[in-house]
Amino acid sequence: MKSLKTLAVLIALFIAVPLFIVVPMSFSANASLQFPPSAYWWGNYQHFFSDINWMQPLFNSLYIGLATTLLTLALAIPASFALVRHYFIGRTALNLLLMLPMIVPQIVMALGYYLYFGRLHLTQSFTGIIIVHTCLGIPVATLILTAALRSFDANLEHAAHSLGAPALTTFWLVTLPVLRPAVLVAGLFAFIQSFDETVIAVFISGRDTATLPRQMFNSFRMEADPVISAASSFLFILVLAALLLPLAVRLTRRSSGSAAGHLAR
Amino acid sequence: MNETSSLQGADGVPRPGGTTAAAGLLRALLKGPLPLYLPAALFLLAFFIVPLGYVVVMSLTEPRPGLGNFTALLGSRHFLMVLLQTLQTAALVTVCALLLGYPLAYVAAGPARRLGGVLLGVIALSFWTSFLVRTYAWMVIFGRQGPLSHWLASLGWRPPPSLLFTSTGATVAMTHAMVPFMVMAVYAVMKRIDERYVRAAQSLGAHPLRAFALVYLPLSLPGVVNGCTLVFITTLGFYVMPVLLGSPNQQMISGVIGDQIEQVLDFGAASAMSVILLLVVLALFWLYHRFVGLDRLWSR
Amino acid sequence: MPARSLSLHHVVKRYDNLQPAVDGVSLQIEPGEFVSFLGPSGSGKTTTLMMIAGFQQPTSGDIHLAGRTIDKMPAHARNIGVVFQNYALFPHMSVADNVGFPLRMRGLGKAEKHRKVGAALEMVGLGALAARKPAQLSGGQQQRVALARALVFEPDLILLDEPLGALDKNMREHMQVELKRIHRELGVTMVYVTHDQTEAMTMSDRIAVFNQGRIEQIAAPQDMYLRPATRFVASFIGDNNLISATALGAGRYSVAELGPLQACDLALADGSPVDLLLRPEMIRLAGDQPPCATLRIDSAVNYGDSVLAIGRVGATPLRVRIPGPQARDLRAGQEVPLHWHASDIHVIPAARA
Repeated sequence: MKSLKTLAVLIALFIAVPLFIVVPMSFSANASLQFPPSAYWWGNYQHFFSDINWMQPLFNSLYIGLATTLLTLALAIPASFALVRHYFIGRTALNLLLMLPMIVPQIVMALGYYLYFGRLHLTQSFTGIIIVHTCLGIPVATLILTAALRSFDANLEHAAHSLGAPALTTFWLVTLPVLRPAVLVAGLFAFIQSFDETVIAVFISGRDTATLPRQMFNSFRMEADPVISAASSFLFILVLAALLLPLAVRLTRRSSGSAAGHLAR
Repeated sequence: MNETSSLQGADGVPRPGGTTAAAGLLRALLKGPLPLYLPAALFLLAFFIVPLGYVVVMSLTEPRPGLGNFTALLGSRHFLMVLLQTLQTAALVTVCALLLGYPLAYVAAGPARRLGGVLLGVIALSFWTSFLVRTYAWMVIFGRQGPLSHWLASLGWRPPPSLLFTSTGATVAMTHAMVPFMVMAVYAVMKRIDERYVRAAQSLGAHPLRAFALVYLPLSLPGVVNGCTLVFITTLGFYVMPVLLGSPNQQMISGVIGDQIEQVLDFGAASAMSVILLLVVLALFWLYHRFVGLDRLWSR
Repeated sequence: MPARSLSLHHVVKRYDNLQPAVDGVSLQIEPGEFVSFLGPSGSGKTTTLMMIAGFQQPTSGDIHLAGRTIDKMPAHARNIGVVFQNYALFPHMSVADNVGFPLRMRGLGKAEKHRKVGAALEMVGLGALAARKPAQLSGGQQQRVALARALVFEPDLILLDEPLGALDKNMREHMQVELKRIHRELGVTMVYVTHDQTEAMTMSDRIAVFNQGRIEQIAAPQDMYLRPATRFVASFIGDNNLISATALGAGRYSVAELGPLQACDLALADGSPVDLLLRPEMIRLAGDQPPCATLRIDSAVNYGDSVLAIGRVGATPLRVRIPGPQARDLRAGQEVPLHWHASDIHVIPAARA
């Protein structure tokens, strides 16, 4: 078991160490991808946060991500209720349809949208990308929501009915609040799915509607713009902070309430 | 909201106002699940199935109607090599991700809570970090002035090789990117394996290694199947990493399709390749579906 | 089947620097005995069982099976059958493969394995279901398979960890009888963990009551019921009236607001605090005997065969169980004279704080 644990730690290091390399690189004053850098400065970040060519895509991505999240939830929540609570002809087919965007390779869809949106004049438009990302967000949101709905205790709703709440009131006051964590998680997945999506955005978003991943991808391909290091590091630190924040909150809570913690055991 | 209300709507009790049969049917449909799923279904039909259909139609009609695109591709040594290379790479990445992911998931699902938390934290960190960021990290590592070259040079390898723009480099990066998927799939199943099974096997006389092989391993297999399918299918369609890190001479199928769209502008060939890739993926998914059906027998 | 003795000497299990989960448990179990570990959850009974089975290591102390120490022995070499809570039947193996598993581990030949598996399944009455998967069995049937698997390899000892907890009441009573029959037929030593006092009372040769990591008392069920050693045991087993009192010497005890009571003499120093245990069913209506006290009934619960009268004598709450016809007329608000024998009161010296 001991050697197994060592092995697991080594594998975890293989996963973690390459990621952390992006942080020192973002402070590199070298124009080339030299590691370790020979000199450090803040310049990459200054460029990243002041250059319209980077800020525009960042805000585009945020806007597209938020719109995608709302649209995905609006479509996936009722569909999940239909899948879990009802039996109807074509239920299996519907389930398959809702999962399909997760299965089809994105390059295939990129081609499809390139052809289709070209005809609809939706290429290089926000609407087009939001539609695409919503399609991609529906499967994962539906998976999360149906799982939560299946474990939802129907007696909660029965109790609300018996206490005099009509169907819609029950939905707003009981069902939705109980499902709120799942809705939030589903929304988060939809947002990140959109915020990260590269392949289709590369093919269908234009210069003005470029997303951050598209800008990064093109920057990788065209020139080795050192600002990319700041963009990468910025995204990585965002994830790191999001993961460490709950941990930090728990740690401070524990140290302040250690007596209560002992009693709870 | 529930079945009873939709049944009551459907049972055709005459309502005041003398509704016709058609109006009654409409009403029943509106009370049922239809309004719940119709928006999502129509949205996906219009914005997912139709563009997918465009690809299929294009593959059969551009530039001429018929199976010409497919016969040309299947007769092309180059395309078959690309397809084979893609399948090989996907298989290699799957095996490597399993070899790295299984032990990590095993320890994470085990009794060492704190270590398990740290391991899962690392996996989550990698999982949530954008593919592009991970791609950038590997560009630095594999670069001519990167740490790997430094290290190899210090070992006396001159001039040090660079893995950037080689298929080996792309494979390593893809494996790195796929390990979190594998771990999550395997861990989800491992976490549900009651530790009492292994204890029971030991109390019945099985050496810990044998208890693992006869009890734990078979019980974790559904997770392995899930993880391998997920990783294999994802790698087959991988675009970003092979294009940015891989060798331009040994492209994977997604990269070739991308070139056809952007540079060659041969939409017929691109569509036919896409259809072939799609068929491979769907076939694999169908196989997986049968496996999952079998797994259901084991769960209580 | 061989019957072995089991003994634990000052076994301690500590996880952190907190209160130990098991705090110095010693006991001696004779060959062929059926001993129950009874206690509330978190009392250390399951941890003790897991240490005997070899899944957890004692922090200190040692465990002997048939006179040999087994502390350093890995679980798979101990030859102890364990019936787990929720059974832990391998879901991917058939019933026969589950029961045959320990024989396979011991390298038995096919024919002998087949014969023994058949015999073990026969013993628990499941001969016909050998080919099924565990998921296709009812809870009671799974329980029997788990039992067959734990005894098929003729272990030195069988440990049962709340094995009936998942069954409904009827099935549970049925399985209690079955378990006792199997115990009788095989004569194997069994240790049974439960938090159900009735189960422990009806099945065990002896009961060990666990509380906060220690054994409070180990005794035969009837002894435990009539002469509990501590207030905890008295309150955990059976319905009870526990009355705080002070020793006055010569078998007399003073109870606040109730006056002196006569009970057996423990030769305690005058003024020692004690708890007096008076079981509700030991108290009778006085009839023509001299009343010991007068009960003012607050409520009367009719069980059909008896009535439980709950009320007070002075300020002291008292529960009285009156059997049969004489109880029918008891009503809340009544005052009834009660009688008991001095010998029915069991005196428990109060623990020093």
